[in-house]
Amino acid sequence: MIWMVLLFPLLGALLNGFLLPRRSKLLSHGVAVAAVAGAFACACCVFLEFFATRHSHLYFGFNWLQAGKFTAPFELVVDQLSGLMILIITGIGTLIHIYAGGYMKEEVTTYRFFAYLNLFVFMMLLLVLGNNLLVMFVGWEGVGLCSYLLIGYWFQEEANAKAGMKAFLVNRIGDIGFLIGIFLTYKHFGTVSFSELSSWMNLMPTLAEPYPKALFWITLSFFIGACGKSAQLPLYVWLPDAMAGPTPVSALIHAATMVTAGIFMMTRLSFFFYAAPDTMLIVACVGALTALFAATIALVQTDIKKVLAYSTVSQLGYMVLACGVGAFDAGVFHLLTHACFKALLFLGAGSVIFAMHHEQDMRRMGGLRKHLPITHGVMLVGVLAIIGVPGFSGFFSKDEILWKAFIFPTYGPILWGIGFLAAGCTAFYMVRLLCLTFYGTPYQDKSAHHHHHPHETPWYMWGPLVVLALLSIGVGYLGVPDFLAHLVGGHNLFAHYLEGLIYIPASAQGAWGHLHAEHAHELEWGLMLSSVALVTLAAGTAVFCYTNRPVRGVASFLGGHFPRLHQLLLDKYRVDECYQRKIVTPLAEISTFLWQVVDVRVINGCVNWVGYLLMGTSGIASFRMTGSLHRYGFWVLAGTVCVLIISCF
Amino acid sequence: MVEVWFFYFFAAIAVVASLGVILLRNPVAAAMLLVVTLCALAAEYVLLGAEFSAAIQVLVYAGAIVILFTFVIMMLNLGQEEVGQLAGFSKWALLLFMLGGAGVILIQRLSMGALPPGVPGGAASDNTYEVGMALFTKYLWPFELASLLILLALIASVVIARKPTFPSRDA
Amino acid sequence: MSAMVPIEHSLILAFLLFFIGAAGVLIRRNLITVLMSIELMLNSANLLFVAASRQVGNVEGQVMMSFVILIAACEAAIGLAMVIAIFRRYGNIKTEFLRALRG
Repeated sequence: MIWMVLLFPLLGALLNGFLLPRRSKLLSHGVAVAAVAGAFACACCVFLEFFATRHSHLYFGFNWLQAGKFTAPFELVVDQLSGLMILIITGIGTLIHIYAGGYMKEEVTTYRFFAYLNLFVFMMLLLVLGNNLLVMFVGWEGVGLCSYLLIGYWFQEEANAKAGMKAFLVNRIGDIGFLIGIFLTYKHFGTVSFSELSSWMNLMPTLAEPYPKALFWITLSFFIGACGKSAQLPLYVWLPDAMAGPTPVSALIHAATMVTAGIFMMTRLSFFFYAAPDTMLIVACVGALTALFAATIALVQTDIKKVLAYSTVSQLGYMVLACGVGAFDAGVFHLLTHACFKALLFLGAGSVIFAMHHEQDMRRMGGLRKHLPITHGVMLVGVLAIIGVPGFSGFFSKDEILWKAFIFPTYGPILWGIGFLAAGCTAFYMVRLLCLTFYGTPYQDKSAHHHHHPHETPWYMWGPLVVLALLSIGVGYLGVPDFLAHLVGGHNLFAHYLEGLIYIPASAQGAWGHLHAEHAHELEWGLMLSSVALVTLAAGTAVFCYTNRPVRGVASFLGGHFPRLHQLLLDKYRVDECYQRKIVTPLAEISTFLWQVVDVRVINGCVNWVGYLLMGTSGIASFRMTGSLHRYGFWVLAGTVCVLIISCF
Repeated sequence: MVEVWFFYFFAAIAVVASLGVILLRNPVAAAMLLVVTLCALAAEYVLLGAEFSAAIQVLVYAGAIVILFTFVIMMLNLGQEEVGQLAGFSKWALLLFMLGGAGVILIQRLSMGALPPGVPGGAASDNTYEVGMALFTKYLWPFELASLLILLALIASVVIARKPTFPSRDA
Repeated sequence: MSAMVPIEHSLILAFLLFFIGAAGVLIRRNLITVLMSIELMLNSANLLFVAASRQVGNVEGQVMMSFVILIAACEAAIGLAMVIAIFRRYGNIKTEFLRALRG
């Protein structure tokens, strides 16, 4: 059954990519949806089978690599984490596939799109199911490749192709970290299998040198890999540009699944990370800073997809923060809820874009609530979920992370403060998005050369949205924090579910005692209420600022009085320009130097001069080769005679 | 004993005529002297009891191959070859190597001692019959292959000699 | 047929013909004459075959000699065709025009 989960999307990709007739869009769409839906059904079976026993199960495929003592079998593992992940990937993947059929209706080469999409699902499943780092790496690279292909799906426009290239290259930087991590792991532990590494770490009561130092570098390398995939500072720059792809791709890859690979990988290797507290501090700081950094950029963006993209970066920052403070369960829980509401938001934005005939600028929208009632409803749910309104899923997951950050012994309150501010920003920009798009007065197109009446999308586009909206509300209740759950006599189901997987190695118990220590519930209540208050305040401000046109009040006041700050945010802190100036341009100059001077002059020059030298000297040596047939014949004869003479004696 | 004298007589003719082949500048005269050489050799074959070989020597060599040479000479309308220095080596070196080779072979021959005398009556009365039997029984497959070879040579010579239909490389 | 010519004498004649032919190949600049010299060398081999056939008393040497004649015919045909092709290209058949092997 587990193999079927992998086989279905691969088969779909092959069918759409190579075998099926390419003209029928309905066929391409049907095959793609059937492949992912089949995988989802199989994943459900696998998960239920696992859930009944709660024992992780290894599935041995074949012996993939073997060199000396090194072996890397093609082996899959189903446990709490990968079982959950395959459900997210195939479940949300199915909804997005259904939706994509409507969104891509006007495209010509839909078969290519769906082949990539199915291939992506396959690669992501491989990533989460692999039981060793190498199989995971195959999936890791595979999703990077699919991401490149899909971002550049409309490659006729150069900007899109460049965005794909950028995503690929930035991801490569992270991949190098991941690779170095694999190498170091093998060097110190002699294996790359998760289950073996896990039991090794579990059995070690204390870690003597060189392991603590080695673990620091290993985890740091892996974290660099996670930064690349999960778009953390300073490697986040590819994700906003990745919005060049079709919106369903943004929903599937750049919100719900692929970008969570970094979080997933760190959770998989949580036993390493727990044993390396120094790395964990770095992880926590990077996560918190990313959350705030991206949230502030999102405050002023006008492209609806760009806002969502920066919000994704920010939410990923929360998850990394959760990992950094040791609350891997909270990180994975936020991954789950975020997958639901971010897919919902992206698909909702896609519906808006679709209805507006590929208009993405929010300043040109407004008052769409009347035209797109269903989309408006589900978007409202999504926004409430992401900003953390009590009762919606984001509330439970985000507050859990903030709480765990607060009790982190090193700089805990500071980390909490950063996350708290980011939550406020999130509330502001998400409500701003909602107001600009759905409320207020409709935008009057002065030129009005294409005055289309926005219309609601067909059922197979809003259907998945409704399902996602229900999920965005529902999944939150799986992870109600303990102190709230105790009120009704329950406990945190999600943390309990992951308990068997995420454990603190014996050697590192001392550093993480606070996670299980008793804390005053009043403190927890207080933090929760303060964040609710902040969210309410920020959302209210946004409503006040943006509901009516022209934009007035605080926003214009701030924009007018702090023009430089406003411009800085609009320019996304000019990080791209800085990278261009400090990294890309020098690299290009060095490369040009290497090419023009070192390669052409020195290396080619050496080779050419050797050639010229040989030609010159051989010219001297070949003066007897006149081309005269007589001379050649004579020497043949002379040689024959000499051989004869020699043979006589 | 008269056959022995005939042998030396024709041997002398063959050597002189072949020297003429390589020394005369007129190609037609050279071709005619080649015919003389071949015929003298045919006579030697008769003396050696190989009548069939003598016959095909005259028919094929003198009759067909040399005619082919003559045709080509006439077709190309070749005149006298002009006197000129041969680039590449000195004639004295050539002579030296030839004499060296001859000397070596003679020395080798002498060091081996006398060959055993030939089988008496080796030349059968019906030489043609025996050669035919050998050709069509034991050597049947080589014979057939030889016919294939000659067909290939025919095609190849036609292909090589026909007028080029493509522009010459550096013409 | 009683008195046999000693085989050594046939060998000497063959040897002389062979070296005359070899010398002709080397000293002549006319391709036709070169080809004729090659025929002389082939004939020297033929003479050896026939003499050996006589010496050992069977006809296999003569069979070989007929194969050699056949190959000589092929060689002459192709060689002369090449002479014609060369003539077409260079306008004459002097060997000093064939210098493609120059190093």
